[in-house]
Amino acid sequence: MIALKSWPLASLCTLLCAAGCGGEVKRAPLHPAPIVAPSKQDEAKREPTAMVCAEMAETSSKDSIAVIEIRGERIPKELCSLLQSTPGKPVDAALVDADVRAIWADGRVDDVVVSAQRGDRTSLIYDVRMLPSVASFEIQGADAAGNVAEGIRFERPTFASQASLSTEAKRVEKELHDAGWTTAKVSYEITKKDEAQAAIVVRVALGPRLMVRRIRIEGPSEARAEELRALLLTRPNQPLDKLALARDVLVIQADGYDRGLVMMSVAEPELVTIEEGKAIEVVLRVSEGEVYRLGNVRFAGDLIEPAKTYEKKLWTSAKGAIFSRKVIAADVEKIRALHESRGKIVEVTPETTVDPKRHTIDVTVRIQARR
Amino acid sequence: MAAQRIRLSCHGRARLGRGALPASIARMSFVRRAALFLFVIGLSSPALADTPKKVEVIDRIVAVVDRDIVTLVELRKRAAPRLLDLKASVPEAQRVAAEAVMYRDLLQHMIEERILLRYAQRERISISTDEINTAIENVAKANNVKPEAIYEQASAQGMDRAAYRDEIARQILRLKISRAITPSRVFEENRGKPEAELMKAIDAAFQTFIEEQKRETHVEVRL
Repeated sequence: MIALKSWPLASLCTLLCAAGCGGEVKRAPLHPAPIVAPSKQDEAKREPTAMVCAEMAETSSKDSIAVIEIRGERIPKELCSLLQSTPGKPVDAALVDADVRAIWADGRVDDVVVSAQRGDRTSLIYDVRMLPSVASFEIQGADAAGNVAEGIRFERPTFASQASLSTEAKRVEKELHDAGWTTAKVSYEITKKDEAQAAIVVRVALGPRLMVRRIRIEGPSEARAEELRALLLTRPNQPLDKLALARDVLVIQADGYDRGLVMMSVAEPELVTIEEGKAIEVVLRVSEGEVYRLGNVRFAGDLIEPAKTYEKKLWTSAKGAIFSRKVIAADVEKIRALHESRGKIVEVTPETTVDPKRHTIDVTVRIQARR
Repeated sequence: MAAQRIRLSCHGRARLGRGALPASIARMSFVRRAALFLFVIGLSSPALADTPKKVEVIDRIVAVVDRDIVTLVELRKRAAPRLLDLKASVPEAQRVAAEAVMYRDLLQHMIEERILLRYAQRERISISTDEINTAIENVAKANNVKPEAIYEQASAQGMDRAAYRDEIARQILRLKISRAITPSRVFEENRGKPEAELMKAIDAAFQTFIEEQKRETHVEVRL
């Protein structure tokens, strides 16, 4: 949240964000670069290759850009074509910013600094540092095909970029953790051979793979817990798979909605470490709540038959029946198919109104022709 | 006093023959003569061949978040309202230090925004124009003014219309993500308690989520 004292944003926070938007952050120092005159020593040291992208012999004022250069080693000529800044006009920070983003998006660049050299005439200079290409790439802990574990690969980068390697290392580490190698570590090392090339070594330490020893479902009766257990992908004596476990939570919820348990909630699974850290017990806490039944049903929108026809021929559940997400979804599909058979493409949306006292749900089936 | 004609040697150092010095200058100490010389050089025309040019950094990369960047231009644009605020509230003697802290905190905030944006794109959480309009209308209603007055106030604080709408969009996105990632147990554990406690618990859960996302994201601050 911006620490402004004015009311436009403070008020918004009050209205929308009683929780507060963000918190205090402690950081390292930063100050934007001031305007400096380079010392003669700096100028003597710096002798990069300069590529003139555009030049104007005479400008209307000394503040207009006379020449645009890209400086650095191994600069591809096509970088010039990415620039929007042009000679003959004053330096435009917004255009320069667009240039920096375009150069970065090229994918071959490590850093860009753009400066305006002002004197008798103005030069706009893009100092670019290119990424080294990959001279050699080795993954310690992978098979010959580069697989780190079943179906998990570390992709070989095109350039020796810290950003790319770090992103890939974190991605692979997360995938390993989700697949049960919860203590896996992925690290890498970039060794420059020269300015143009670097060697990359990636090290993968898998650690033990956690096994699910048992699954405990708390809340429902034992019989109901057995029914739910049968729906799960997560199984005892199998490796832990966090993605499968996330799917299991959704499946339990969906099963509840099919049985009128519309207020059902499933807490985030608890993973209890056992057997000295080699295995876990998965604990699923399920709160089912009351069974809800169907209340009044009405049909609205772009109907092609009387509402009674929809109710009698296309709607399965009668008033008072246990509410079922699956049955309603099937009825919605029947309505959509009827309209399509008559050449009309429609959106069919069941809008629900829950009565927590009577434990009923009224449904308005809204049919809207697509235009 | 009138500047002496100065013949520069090939090393760029002026050499003044003693015979050429007016009496007034000849009577000066060496230090005062050196200072006078430098003052004269400063007034000299651009015809001097080795006058250093001024170099101004226009833009650079100040942070990398995965494969996205935060630039100096972007940072400065976002800092504009905060700078006005500091100018009005912080004594001049402390302003430079306060600005440094402000830029530092703002950059970290922008890095966090990038991380949240990345999460939103993955989870397909988006903000519509209608949501932004509604939010601004709500702020206007709460202050008994029209939405245009909100934009005018933001403009007076250094934020143009587009920048203000972008800021609102970011705040709405932050809220949406916060609601989406807060575990149900937080609501269950705080049922029946004062709202302030629930909000504190939601905020704590959100901060934990952000720290987790940061661990999974490549972040590089380039000073």
